[in-house]
Amino acid sequence: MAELSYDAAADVVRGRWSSDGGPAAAEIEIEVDGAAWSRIAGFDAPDGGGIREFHCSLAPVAQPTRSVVAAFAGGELLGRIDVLRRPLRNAHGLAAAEVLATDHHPFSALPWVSLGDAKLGLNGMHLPPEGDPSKLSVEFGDGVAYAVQSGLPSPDYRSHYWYWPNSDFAGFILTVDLAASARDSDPFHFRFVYRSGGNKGAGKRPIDVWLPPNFSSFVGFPADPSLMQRVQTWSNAATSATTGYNAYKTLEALFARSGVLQESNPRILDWGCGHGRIARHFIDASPGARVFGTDVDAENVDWCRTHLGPDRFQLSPLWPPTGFPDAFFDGIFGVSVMTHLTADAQHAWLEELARILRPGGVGLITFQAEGSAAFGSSWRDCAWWDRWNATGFDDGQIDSALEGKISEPTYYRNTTQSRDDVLERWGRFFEVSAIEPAIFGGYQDCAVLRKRAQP
Amino acid sequence: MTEPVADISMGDDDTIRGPLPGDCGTRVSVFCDGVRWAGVPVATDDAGRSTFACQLEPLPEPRKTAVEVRDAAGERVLSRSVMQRTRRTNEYGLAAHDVYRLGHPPLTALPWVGFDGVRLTIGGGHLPPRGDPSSLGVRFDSPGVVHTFTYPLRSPGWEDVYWYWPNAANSNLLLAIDLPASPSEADPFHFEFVETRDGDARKLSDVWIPSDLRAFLNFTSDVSRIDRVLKGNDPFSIVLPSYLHFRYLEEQFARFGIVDGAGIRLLDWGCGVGRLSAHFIRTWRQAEIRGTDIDAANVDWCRTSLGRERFEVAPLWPPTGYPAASFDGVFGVSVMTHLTAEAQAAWLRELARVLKPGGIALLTFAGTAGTAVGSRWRSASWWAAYSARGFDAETHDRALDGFIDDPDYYRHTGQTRANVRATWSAHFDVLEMIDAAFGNQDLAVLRRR
Repeated sequence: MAELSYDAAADVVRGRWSSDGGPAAAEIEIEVDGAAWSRIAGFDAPDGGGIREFHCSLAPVAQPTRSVVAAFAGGELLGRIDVLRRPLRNAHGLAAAEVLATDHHPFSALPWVSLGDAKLGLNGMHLPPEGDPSKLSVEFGDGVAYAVQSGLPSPDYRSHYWYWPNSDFAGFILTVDLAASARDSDPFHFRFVYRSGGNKGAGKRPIDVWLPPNFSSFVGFPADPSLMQRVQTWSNAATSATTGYNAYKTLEALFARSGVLQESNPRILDWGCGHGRIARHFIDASPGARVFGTDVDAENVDWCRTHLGPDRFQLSPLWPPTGFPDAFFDGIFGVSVMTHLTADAQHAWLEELARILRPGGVGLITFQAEGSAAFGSSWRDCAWWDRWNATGFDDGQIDSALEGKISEPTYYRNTTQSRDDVLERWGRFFEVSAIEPAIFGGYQDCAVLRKRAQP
Repeated sequence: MTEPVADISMGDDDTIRGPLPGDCGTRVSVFCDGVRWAGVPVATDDAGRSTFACQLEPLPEPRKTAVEVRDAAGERVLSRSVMQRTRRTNEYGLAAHDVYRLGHPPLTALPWVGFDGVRLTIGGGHLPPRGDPSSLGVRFDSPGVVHTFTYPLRSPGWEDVYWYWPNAANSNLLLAIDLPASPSEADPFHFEFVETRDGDARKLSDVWIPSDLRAFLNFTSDVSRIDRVLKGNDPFSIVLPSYLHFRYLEEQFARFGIVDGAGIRLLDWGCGVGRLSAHFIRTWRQAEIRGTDIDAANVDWCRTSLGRERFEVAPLWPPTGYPAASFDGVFGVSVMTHLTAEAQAAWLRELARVLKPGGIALLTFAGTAGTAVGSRWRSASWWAAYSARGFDAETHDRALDGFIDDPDYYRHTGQTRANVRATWSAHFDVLEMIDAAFGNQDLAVLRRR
């Protein structure tokens, strides 16, 4: 039998047992009050001697709650403990239960792609759905030979995703055996699928992920890493290539659904192009499309002009207007742009985007919604959270990524807004035909905007 | 000039070895009778001393050679001695000189490709051109491709197979191409091996890397199927070589105007696991690609995996069911290398029948390099007889035992260029022969009259 303990500060149940004469099971099933809660990995204890350990977060509670937690290995009872569960709070007193109540998609970080032995290796992170690593599954189309390891340790995730139960089991490795996959299969597209079950009801909508099927997607990125890090914090050429391609495919699918790419030679604008990580794929893959890009970051625009085409890219002012004629574009996309603008700047730019988009044209504009507010909650206090819940909008935090690169030091923000806020404010300029939750890596939402026909 | 310090010795394998002064750099040059022979890397032994090893050019007769070891630039002499040299032979008395003097191109094998998210790495081996590891380099067409080429590395086993080739033990290579650091407009997926001598770089061969990852799809995972086609290979190691062979075939066909197009028909004669057909099917979207093989299990796999209508089992002896004059091109890679003279003649007649007039057949054969590679097991008398006759198909190849009816059918066949010209020209115009175009096999470019 295992010796179970409850760590009230972390809201975690821990177990220790001897595999000598006891089960050495790799996977431990945890039940709370008789209901299945989570399946997590068991480990060899660092002190050795055939001792095994596990640790498992419980679902955050709002009030102190008595529960019975039981651990099983292969159906066999390992141990049982009575616990008085304590509400988990961050350093500023915000309760995890409150953050988790937003019921958002689990965050995922796009995989790092490698190749060896004709196998693609895809490494990444995905928060365990509903705190249960076994509820994450990965589905490829027919004919793809692949293997999935998930629920792997991710100790670094614990502090940032402090409110998400078992966020330290977010690692996954997918191995796609290309040589064993069928000729007409597509090993470069998969979905994260969330098994429903337990006591939380239906799983979340699947998230599609696309991988670059050609090494050419990795060729030619800025030699100065700061150019990339201004666009995506922590990024490098490898992650920019993968996330850029995935964003392109996601946008392509949304544009296709709206009919934009079916037109002959559509004009597409990458608003906030950065170093062209997305625009480059539209340029390569849609020879008929006339692809333009603009950004407030002059160095990145320069890089794009030199490497991706001088006529396509131009520097954007911080405030409209741009030099583009009225009704010029059939489609505009802006990934991680509104996420950096104040309410005033959003207003001004929505007006400008509506001006340069043709009637019937489509804008795909991402924003940081409820999920993003939760992801950033480790440094939020109760007052901030209450205000956010009341207003659904926050642009108070300055983002220093473009410091020294743009003329207004307080221009660039870290902006979060609710779906309702987008429906209301953006709806003044566009018909909001859909909001796609968590469609970019389970992180940013995307609003599908259509410019209304002229009255 | 400082006095020579190194104490050099000569081994049975015609290799000079010895310790070097610590300041001699990363490479030394070896001169024989005053002529530069090779540049070899400086290694560090277990005791932390700098050492080197360099095999000398095989001699027809024993004699003395004045050997100098100098620094890489050839300026500072590190050692000077006169060595008594032997006539190096294999254990059956065949002289290395007799094989090496035939002068086949330095062979290369590139079975390994990997990617770490940034660097695309190609690994394998390349015999040192003319025995000199310091002369091999790579060259990209496009300026600015950021890469590092590491060569030579130790290549265990190569000195056994390529026993006659000097410094074959130093044949391994790693080429790492930094994709993000290379300019967007560059093509980092094509390079050439070059031999640099006296400042001039001469192209040895082209290498194309499949940038489309779909090129890696759909090789059988049953290793035994592959092993019957390419000895000692697995699903992974056939990907890059197969892609290279496909590109060579494509290039050769293009010279005769045979490119993808409606109505164009190609036959993969001896398709095996479809390793070449797969690339044609994937990229030649309009042409009709057909394949046939005597190995029914492999044809079955091709029919299931690459298209039922495209593949059929071939009889051991013609005819096939293909209509006369129905193909623009036929390729047969590693097929003639397994047939007796009688079977070769029968199949040449059949291939001429199914080709359209003016159609092109690209057939590989085990010529100079192919025979040299197997010479480890050959005696001096076998070699003399083969050299006189120009043809040998006496050795049975057991690879298809149990897969075909006639256990005597499948052979290891070697033949000289002269033999190919004399015998195959009865059925085709022999337009050209290209040395070591497909691994160690030569290519005959044939046209139906």
